[in-house]
Amino acid sequence: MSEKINLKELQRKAWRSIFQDGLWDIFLGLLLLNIAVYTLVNEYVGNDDLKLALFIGGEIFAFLFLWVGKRFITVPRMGKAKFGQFGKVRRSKAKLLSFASVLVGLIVFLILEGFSENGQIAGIPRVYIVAVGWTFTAMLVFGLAGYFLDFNRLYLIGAMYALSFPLDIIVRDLWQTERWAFLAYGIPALIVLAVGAYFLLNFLQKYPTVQGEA
Amino acid sequence: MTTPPASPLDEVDRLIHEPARLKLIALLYMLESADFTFLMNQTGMTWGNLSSHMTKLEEAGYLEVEKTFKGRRPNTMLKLTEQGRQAFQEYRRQMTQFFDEVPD
Repeated sequence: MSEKINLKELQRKAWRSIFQDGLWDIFLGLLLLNIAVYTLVNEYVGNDDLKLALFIGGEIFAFLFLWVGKRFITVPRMGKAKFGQFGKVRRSKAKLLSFASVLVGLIVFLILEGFSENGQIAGIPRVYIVAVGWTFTAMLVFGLAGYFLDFNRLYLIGAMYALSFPLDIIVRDLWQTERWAFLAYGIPALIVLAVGAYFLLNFLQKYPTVQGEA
Repeated sequence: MTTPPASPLDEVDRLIHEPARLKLIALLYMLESADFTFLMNQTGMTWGNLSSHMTKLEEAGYLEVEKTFKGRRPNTMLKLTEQGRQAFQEYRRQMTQFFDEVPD
């Protein structure tokens, strides 16, 4: 027997196969794209209820895409496995630490809001501080989730989310208009979507539908 | 004529020792359970091959096979029994002992 069996590596390979289909990338890309669409719609639609409805519709579409894609396209091809305690611990750590990071980010934001006067905090424009907070929180949340879920592409996705808000400020300052602000979210979203689509296409080629089994 | 001393390899479970079955049982040892399609993809075995190994392991009491239907299509879930887990642990112990005894 020339092949060395490494039990931990077998388990890790099986675990990582969950993210091979690119659907999580596409889902997160769609959420970011929805912000881009909202920013664009904000320029042309005056009705706040309609804007909110469109935003919620976009979020629902992203969730449906993930659910339908997993349920009917990728899980029937890849198969299903339960990882027991190993999977539970990884998921719990990722959820708990990501939630804690968002909470800390929110608390820091609210504290800074208390010191906000005329759109400035300690002489610095409030929007810059919010942008730093957004970038830091996005990097932390996606970084921790990527690490604990052993899902490396989350680092890239985190970087795209982190980049979007500062890019928004740069675009607005550069062109002195809000018309092109959607690009700040749209371009990172398209990068994430392209990565997801690449992985999905590879997955579909690699794993054809299995006859017989569901 | 004297009987040669028993080596750990003589006592090894041959049902587990076969490479394809070893890969299958090692994978199931690290998981709670998995379906047929998942195991096919992870082990690289064909349908018939996996089915044949599954039957042997099930007959030995190492594997619990649960057949259900998802809509009109069958779904086969596989899980290592307690007996299967113990057999694999014993196999690991024997193989480790054997290799530990091999001089560098």
